[in-house]
Amino acid sequence: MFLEQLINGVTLGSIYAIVALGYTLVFGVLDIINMAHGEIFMFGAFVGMLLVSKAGVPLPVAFLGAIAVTGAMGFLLERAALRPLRSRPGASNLASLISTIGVSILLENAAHRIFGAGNHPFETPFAEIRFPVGPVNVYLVQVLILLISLLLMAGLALWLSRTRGGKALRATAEDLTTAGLLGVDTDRMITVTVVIASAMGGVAGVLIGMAFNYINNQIGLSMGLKGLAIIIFGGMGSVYGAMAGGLILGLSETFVVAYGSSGYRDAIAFVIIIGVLLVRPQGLFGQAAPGTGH
Amino acid sequence: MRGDRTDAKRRWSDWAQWGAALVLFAAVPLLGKKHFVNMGNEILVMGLFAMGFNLLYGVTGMLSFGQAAYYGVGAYTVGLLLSKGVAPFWVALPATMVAGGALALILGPLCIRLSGVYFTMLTLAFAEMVWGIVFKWYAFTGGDNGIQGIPMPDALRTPLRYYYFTMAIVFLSFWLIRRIVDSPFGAVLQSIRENPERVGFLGVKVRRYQLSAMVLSGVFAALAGGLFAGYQHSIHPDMLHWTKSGEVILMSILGGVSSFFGPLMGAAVIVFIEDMIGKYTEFWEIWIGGIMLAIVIFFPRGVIGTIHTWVSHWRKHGEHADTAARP
Repeated sequence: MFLEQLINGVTLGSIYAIVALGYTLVFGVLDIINMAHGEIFMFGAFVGMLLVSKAGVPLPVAFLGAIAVTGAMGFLLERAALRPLRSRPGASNLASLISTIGVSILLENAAHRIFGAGNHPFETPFAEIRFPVGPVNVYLVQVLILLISLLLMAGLALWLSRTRGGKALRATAEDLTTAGLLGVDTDRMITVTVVIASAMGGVAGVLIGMAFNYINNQIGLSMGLKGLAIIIFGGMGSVYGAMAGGLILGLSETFVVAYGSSGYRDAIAFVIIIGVLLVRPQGLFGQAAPGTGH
Repeated sequence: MRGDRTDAKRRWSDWAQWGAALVLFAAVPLLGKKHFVNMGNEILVMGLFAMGFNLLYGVTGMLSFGQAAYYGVGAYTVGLLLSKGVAPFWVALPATMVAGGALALILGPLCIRLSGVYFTMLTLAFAEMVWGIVFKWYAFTGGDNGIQGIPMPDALRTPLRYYYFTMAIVFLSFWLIRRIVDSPFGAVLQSIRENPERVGFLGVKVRRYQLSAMVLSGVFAALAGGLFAGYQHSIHPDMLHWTKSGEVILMSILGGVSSFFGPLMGAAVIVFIEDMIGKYTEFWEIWIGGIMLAIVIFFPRGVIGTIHTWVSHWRKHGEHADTAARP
């Protein structure tokens, strides 16, 4: 029982971590919270569902499809809602917060209109395959989700730390103006960041579909709020904070549901936020106390 | 340069705005349709909610994304006290203000530990918790069924009487808000918006003022919620949901956060849009999202604010021509 819940928690937590990473990347570079990220995640889930359950294509193609669609959405989001505000002097971060909220309302209702309000089954051909590992049964889906999440996180960490593009992105995150003066095409880096973050959201959407076997048009909102909770208590802009925070939330939700009541599932994220922020206002992995400085 | 003439001019345009608003709202029932009275009522209530929110955002520079919690707590104060027969409406309505202020005194100190986007996210998180409690606590709040058939006193039974009652309360609140903004206290709030650090260096206890702004804003939001509960006779947890907080932000930025009546104008525009688009499609929220995006990008100072800038720009040019012509 305990081991099975542990595996469930880690699986769920790794998906949360990927969603939270999408927020963190954008926040690190632009200092804004992309409120439309949850809805982009949801579109990834729907594209995956259409490709797997309706078109019957193999899973890797579904992932590619979700990445293509959500990446394109990220590109459009940057062009339509973020770039016009950036070129304006004196526009505060709150303006882009509000413009992304606008996009999120737009996307949520568009999804409601296109896909309807009910649950859509997300059928994977190997949903029932499981094998015993010691005393517990492990589902193949769980192994796949974990593998894909770990690959994605390792790939992102490597790209950020080892490649020229990653270096340019870190420089842009450190100081936009200086990076621009030193020859980094910051506008391009910002676009790349938003596209990568959105595509990660798309992958997470397909993974959530695989994990729960159904999706609906509410998952964007609930996942968006959880992702926000994670980056707040993990520490805004911290890549490791997002990963650790995702795991903490996934594990605590799973255990509270298993040993307590499922009614409290969605409240846990907020209880953790309040608990962590009372002790460490900058979050678990945050550098300095936010807001007290500049 | 700012002489008595501009002061007098400002005072005159102030009187004109108040007069126009009063006459317009007082005349709504003369249109003779029940539908317009309902819409007027909603505009007044949402206008009060938005003006109270603007005390926090436009005046003090704190973007709260959790105002729906106060609005909803006000509505549930009226709903619970009346439906359980604990207190009459005349006691329940002032009690909403106590409840809203008390909630802000509990949540405020936790939220103002952080600023900027962090503050915004904390207010959202706490509001979601309050919503979760109301939504799940069936035995006390009725859960997602809400509360129906809230009994109202005889004096306020007809929509018309309730409309004028709402109007009186709302305009009294507007007057109070105006007094607050124009007071020395309001001046400190505005300087905190401009530069909290420097105000702190001057020896002002910034957080105490920020908390006061949160409490005042919560009081007016709760009063608006209480008025809405009395007019609708039924309430629902959706009143506390984050979309309601988003709606009030939208109203304020649409009308313009830097003009006093801006949020009220924004509320009027949104209520009209919801009413018009709502007739044709249930997906009116798509339009809200699109409008929100367009406003931030094309009218960063709000529609009223942008028009105001144009007018004052045009006026300034006129005055320049005046003084240039004089010897």
